[in-house]
Amino acid sequence: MKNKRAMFTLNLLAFLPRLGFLIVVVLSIVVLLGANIKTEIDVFDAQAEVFFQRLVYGNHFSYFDEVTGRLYPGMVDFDKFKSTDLDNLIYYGEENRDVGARISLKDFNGSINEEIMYNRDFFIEKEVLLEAGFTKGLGGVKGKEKELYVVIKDGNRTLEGTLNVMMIIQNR
Amino acid sequence: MRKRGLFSSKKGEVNEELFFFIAELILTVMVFVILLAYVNSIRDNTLLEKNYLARDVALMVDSVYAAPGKINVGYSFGSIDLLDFSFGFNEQRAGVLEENGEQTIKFPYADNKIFFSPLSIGFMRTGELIFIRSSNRLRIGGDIKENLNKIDCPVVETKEDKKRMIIDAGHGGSDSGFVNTNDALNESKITQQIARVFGLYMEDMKDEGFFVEFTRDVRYDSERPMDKRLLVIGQSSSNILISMHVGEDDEEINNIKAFVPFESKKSVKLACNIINSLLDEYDDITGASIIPSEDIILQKPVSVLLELGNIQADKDILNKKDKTALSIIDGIKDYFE
Repeated sequence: MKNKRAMFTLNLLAFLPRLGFLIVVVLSIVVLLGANIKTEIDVFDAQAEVFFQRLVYGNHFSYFDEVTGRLYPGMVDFDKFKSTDLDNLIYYGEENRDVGARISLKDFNGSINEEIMYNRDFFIEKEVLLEAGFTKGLGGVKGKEKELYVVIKDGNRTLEGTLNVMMIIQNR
Repeated sequence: MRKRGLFSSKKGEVNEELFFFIAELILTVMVFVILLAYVNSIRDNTLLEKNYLARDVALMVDSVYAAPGKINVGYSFGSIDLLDFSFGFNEQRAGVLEENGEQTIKFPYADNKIFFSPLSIGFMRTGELIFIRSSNRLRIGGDIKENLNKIDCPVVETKEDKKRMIIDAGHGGSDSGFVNTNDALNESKITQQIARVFGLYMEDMKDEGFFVEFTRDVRYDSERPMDKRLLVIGQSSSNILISMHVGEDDEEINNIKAFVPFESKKSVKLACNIINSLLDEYDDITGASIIPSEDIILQKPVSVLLELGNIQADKDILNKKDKTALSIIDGIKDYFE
């Protein structure tokens, strides 16, 4: 009788590793399934593109002709460019932890080389992360640079140049 | 004699095998059930949809701002029924949640500080989001399509002892407003008749603190120009203003629209209460929306311009004036409660 009990206990003990293995298998299936199911969509590129379009086509520094009453996207009014308050015009809240940008305007002759910032503190803080390669995960940021050929209206002068926008967007 | 148990019978070995077989069977069933439940939870989960919608509508706000000039966009979806979700726009975040209130997903957008949406006050179920940008200002409204659960009204204290209101029955006299193709219905007469019935019911509610005045004489289809109406509204000490109108659309459409002043939470609540009351009364309403507006008639801090039904559709909301008036009264009562 004792032998039988001992056998049973032995069999029971032998069953435990199988149970453990089964749990590992189940958890593996759950983890593998979870890892392969996408619940988020990366819209970084779209977000950056829309932000860029908004800068270029919005009434932030585009030239407005009083005679025709029209806004000319692609023509930069240099005076407006220097004085624009982008932080309030593109308003992500008082504490913007979403988007920052550095916008540089240069003409081909080198007479104009002006830089403005959108959400300066965020941009400076996150530029370090971007340069260090922290682009993954919730704490990371992604950057995108775009350049556009523009016409610069500076008083009576009309110059050709480039508008360079470096955007940094927080991962979500 | 010792009692024979499961493992001490003569056939102990067989029973032992049976025990392990049953134990394994139970484990297998448990594993199967757990995996099935997990897969089902993934299948039923709408996290992807919520993530998608939150990002998409937030990008839509940004895109509408990015577009040069005026723009008016209706946002609906082919494969996803927007009515399964509620939308909110608040603190530069587009939020999406489900009917059962599970986990709100939010995504940032940028406005320009001149932004308004009734959906910025609370979450709202809607079949179609409407983005309107004009004069550098973005408005977002919701169009709640068939059929149509009641709207979640904003929570704001609107209880008052003196319930004074001024009713503007739209158009009047030679200004007939919309007329239907058979000439059987005209807007000024409908608004006058609803307003008249409304006034009669209100007479009986004086004891409850209700008091009503009108911008034109509603005993008949009288005429009064807009400047005079505005004068009456300006001199009135009423808490709220309701301007009644009738819409015009294709025959199959029977919508209710409520236009409210920008950023007036109380107006949204009043509009919401009236719409819900009308939705309770009429089951053939095809859509309802609350739309921010700068209409000149919206002079009082709490103002609603109601566009009831469709002059081209022969529907009860226009024909049963007493029911419509009573529904509006019920909505007003809810507002003051």
